[in-house]
Amino acid sequence: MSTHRCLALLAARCVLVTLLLAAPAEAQVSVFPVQDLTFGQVQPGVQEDVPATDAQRRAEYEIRGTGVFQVSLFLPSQMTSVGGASLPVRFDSGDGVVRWRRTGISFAFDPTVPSTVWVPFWEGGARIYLGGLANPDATQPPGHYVATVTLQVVPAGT
Amino acid sequence: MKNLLNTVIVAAGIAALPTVAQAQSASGTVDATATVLAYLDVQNVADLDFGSLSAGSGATVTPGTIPGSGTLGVLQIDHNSEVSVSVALPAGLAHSGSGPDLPVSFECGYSAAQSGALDGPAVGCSSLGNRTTSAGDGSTETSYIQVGGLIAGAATTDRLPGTYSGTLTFTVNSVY
Repeated sequence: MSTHRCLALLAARCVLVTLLLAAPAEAQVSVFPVQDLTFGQVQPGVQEDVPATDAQRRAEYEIRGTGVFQVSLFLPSQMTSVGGASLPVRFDSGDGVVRWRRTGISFAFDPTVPSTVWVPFWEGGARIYLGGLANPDATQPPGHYVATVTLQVVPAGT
Repeated sequence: MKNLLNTVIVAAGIAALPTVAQAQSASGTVDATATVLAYLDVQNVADLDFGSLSAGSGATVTPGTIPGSGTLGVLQIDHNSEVSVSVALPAGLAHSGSGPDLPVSFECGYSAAQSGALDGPAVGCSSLGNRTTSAGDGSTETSYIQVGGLIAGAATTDRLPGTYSGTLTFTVNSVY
């Protein structure tokens, strides 16, 4: 075999090896808040339930990315008014829903514990829906109450 | 040559191994909100009555006191938050038949009881300030507005005899 032919063959094999071994392994995900969890006007002593199926009042987040993720929600135990009064709020195992973006396939998840969510590559992303229960006391001071709800999404295995 | 070729290929393969990329996490935050409505109820307890006046005689009904004649008007407010009060006052009391109105001025004051001492001074009813709750914990409290006023003696001179009346309209709003 000539030297020239050897060098050409060598270059081809190096390129092939590089292509086979250099496939990117980085998983990327973005989270966008879409809608607040809105209990609206509540009466003292009367619970107000917002199911995750309530499109007008549930919390919504958009996940952009595909793969397997660990989803964690940092949930408050109360909302607070400007005057410092507290209004208890509760989240249950049935208050979480994941909806794939393209097909619209939905399934429930427990928002009170870290959950594993799979978003197939053909879906491109998903929405996270969250419901909850406001539980005002019979002598709940009137006012506007607020709390924050944070969603964290981590690619599985990290 | 062949051995050198294989050796070079292995070295190139090792050199081409990518470094392990770190996966990225992300988070987002929304609010949870609720508005608790205030409780508010307003009732008329008593009308303001200046009584019977002789021509040329005036009448005064003073909030926070027990009138010698006539009766205080009283409004009851049940509330669990601060309230604001506005009043639409008649310019005068209208005769039941015909004739000019009887001039009158009004005074108002807050109290914790239907009669007796006021919580603060009596003021023109249009200048009544907000009424707060003492507890501030959402429990319902009862407040009263005592309504009095003044008819000057000169106003009843050469005045058509009869019954004169008017309406004071109080608008109470919860503030929170």
